[in-house]
Amino acid sequence: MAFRQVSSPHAHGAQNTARLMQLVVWATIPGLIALTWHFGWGSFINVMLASITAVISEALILKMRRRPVGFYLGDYSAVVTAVLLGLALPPLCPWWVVVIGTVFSVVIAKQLFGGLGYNPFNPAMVGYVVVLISFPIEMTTWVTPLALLPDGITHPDFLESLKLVFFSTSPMDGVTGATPLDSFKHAAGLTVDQIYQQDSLFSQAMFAGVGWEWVNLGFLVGGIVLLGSRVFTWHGPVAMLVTLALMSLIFWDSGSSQSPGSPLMHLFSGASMMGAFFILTDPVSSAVSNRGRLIYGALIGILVYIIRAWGNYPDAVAFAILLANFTAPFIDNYTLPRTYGHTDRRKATERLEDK
Amino acid sequence: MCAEACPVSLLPQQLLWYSQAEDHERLEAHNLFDCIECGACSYVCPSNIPLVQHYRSSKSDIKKAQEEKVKSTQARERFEFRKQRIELAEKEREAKRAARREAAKQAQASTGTDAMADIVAAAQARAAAKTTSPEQELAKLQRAVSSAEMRVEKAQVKLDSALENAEPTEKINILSAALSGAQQKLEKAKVRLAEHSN
Ligand code: SF4
Repeated sequence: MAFRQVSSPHAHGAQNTARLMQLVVWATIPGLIALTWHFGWGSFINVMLASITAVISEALILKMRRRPVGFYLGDYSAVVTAVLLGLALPPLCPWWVVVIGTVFSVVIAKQLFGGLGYNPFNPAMVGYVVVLISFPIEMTTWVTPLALLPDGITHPDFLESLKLVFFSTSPMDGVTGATPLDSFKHAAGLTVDQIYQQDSLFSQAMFAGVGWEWVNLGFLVGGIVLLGSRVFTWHGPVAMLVTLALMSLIFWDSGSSQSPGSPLMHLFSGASMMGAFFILTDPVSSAVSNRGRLIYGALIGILVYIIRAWGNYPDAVAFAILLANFTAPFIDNYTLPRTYGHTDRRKATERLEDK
Repeated sequence: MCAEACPVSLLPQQLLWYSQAEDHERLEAHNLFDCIECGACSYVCPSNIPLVQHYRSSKSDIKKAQEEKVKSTQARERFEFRKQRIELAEKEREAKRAARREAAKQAQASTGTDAMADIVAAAQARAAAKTTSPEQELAKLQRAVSSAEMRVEKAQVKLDSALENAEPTEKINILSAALSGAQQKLEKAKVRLAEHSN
């Protein structure tokens, strides 16, 4: 009888990529519900449209790359990218914005670099930044949160929203407005207290901004679920949120007219939570060691704050994450963990002659 | 998650990159040789990447490369040493030749043309010493005959005992061949003796 040489592991964990990706999709549901509740059907339509586009374009590009289509579609990574992009895009934005963003994410940011596991940048964020820079008007009109709509007006219902997405030529009036980060940016000369009193976006909110606080709480819940099911480690998200909070605390300026906003406002506005738990935890484009992830997360936190406070864009998670993706390989080189039995940490760039 | 799983705190993801790239220096810097091949990283890998197989093949590649390096340095050292040795020997020979030439010149200078006659005389004396007397030659041939006889006898005895003990036929064949060979040699020796005494 012949014994085949088999090496460990002789068993395998129950986890596989498809299940992991499905879990991520499920974990976005609290955030999606919050978005839909406060901003209407737009986000839901975005997510659906992006998912369909992603699956189709992934299938096409796989065919062109002569890869097994069924196998790679079955890992759900395209769907995850699409869902994240759909959530990040403004609700009720025209359909072609979603389609262009998604195609760019899947085809250029992911497949042209070699597919899942080989992309140096987070695909969803690449797509987002491309459409943000290309179509600034469509990308910066956000729907007004439900609570702030005048009496008698509600968000368009599902069919109406579909019509808006596919056939409207101009951004709709009446139901669009500024986001909390926008208001802070444009309310020059007012102290924080004044902004809070004048802007119903804040005066009616619990602690950050109407609607937005719920959306961010939703993503926080989803993120904690993922953390609990050990999809990623706590290092990245915690480092990012802590640095963001610290930065906004340092520059809080006790609420003067120069202040870029309170820590709570920053933590629960824009894409903070979504970025922290769903984007920067991407195992492919982030740093790989725990220490590396701490540095990587902190870098993103700092960049987000800098761009929000002093940059041209009201929100900055996408830019910050892409910039940090650039640095990830560099961080990796200098944050090797101390291997068991060694007394010192080594550097990846160490050459044999150096010793 | 693989980095979390690794009991020796390696970075399996990085190791995979570098082992696919065959970047041996990076692999060493990432302590690939501290990998105990437990497979924990592979166990938790959602993409089912055969990490351990990659590491094993990289490890053997690195070992092979190292061995080859050692071998090639040894070969180089050996080659260099040989070159040195040959050079040294060549120099010594050259020095000897020069010394001899020098000696010959001096001898020529001191004895003049007599030297030539001396050399011829010496050569003749050597040739004379080499030729043996007919008595010595006869004794030699007789010794050859008697030793050949002895050998024939010995072969006969061996063959007989083999036959008695009923040894395997191959052995007997070999022994009888040896016997006939010895007999032929004896014949030849006798013929030469006869030729000489004529
Ligand atoms: S096989 Fe090697 S790299 Fe993987 S977990 Fe075990 S020791 Fe770590």
